[in-house]
Amino acid sequence: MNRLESKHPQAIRWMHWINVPVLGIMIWSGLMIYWANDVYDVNLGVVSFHFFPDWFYRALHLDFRLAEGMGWHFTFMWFFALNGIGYVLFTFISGEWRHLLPNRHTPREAWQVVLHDLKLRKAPLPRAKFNGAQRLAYTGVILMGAGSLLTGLAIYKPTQLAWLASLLGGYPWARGEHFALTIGYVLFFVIHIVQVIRAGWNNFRAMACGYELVSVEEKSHA
Amino acid sequence: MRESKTGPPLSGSAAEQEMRRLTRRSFITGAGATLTGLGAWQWLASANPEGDLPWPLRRVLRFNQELGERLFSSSRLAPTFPAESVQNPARINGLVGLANEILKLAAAYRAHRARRQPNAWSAISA
Repeated sequence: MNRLESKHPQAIRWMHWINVPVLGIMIWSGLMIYWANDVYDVNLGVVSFHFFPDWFYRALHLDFRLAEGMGWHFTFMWFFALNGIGYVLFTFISGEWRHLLPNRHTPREAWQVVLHDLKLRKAPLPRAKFNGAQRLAYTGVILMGAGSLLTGLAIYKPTQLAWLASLLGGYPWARGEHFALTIGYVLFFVIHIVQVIRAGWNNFRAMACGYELVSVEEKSHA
Repeated sequence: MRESKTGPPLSGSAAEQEMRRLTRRSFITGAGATLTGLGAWQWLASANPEGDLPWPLRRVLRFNQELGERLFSSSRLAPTFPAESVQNPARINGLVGLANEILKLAAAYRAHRARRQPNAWSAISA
């Protein structure tokens, strides 16, 4: 038999979904800016990859749009920052942070999740709102957001905030960190989507309506 | 845990029925929010241009500029570094939209230097 249980508060759900298009616009407009000076490469011995090949910019119509990209980026940075700050404040005021912040059990639980997902561990995972891997991922992505704001400010106002740019290793480092964090969001997004698909409809639906159906038998054994 | 109006938590078929109602409601809200967002995007991207940008974006850029001017002293100087720390030739992004302003500034600067140091004129203009 199933029972209806509350999972995600309304504010968390709204801020989560608002962040999807806002982060999308930030990455899209950021790529327009990056195109004007696309200096980053990854060299892995025999394989090297340039961020990004010309066909990539052309396919997404990102080339020759530096000023437009700056217009969008420096407008939507406000929505990104306010939504992120609102999320952090809400989690602290509501007490949700207790479910999200890593604790002393988190590293062990996260390792169990990795083994479980790789089919190397048969035992079921302990039932909790967020498992160890989720705690690490969801706290990490918030820290990444804070990092994007700080590195972004450092490269947006490198004269006025020269102290911040220096703390981040200087302008070139701050720019590299800003870029690396963006690549990190894309990787996070891919893993997040795969995990949401694996977790199933009941889990996804909880992020839409706030509730999930929980098996009473499963709960009594947890 | 969602409770029925009489108190106890919903379970069994009542829970599943309530879940269907909540799902329907949230997806209708989500669809409405998505359509509103797409409409806002269309409006923003096609707003009348002001200085080659949709006017809301241009106004936010002006707001950012005013905020920056309020927060930071206009007399703050750019950080300087020892000449030996320069590793590459300075990179010029481009002069699109700036060429006239830069030429005017350069002429004013040369005139200023020439008034103060007449002998330096030839070195600067070269």
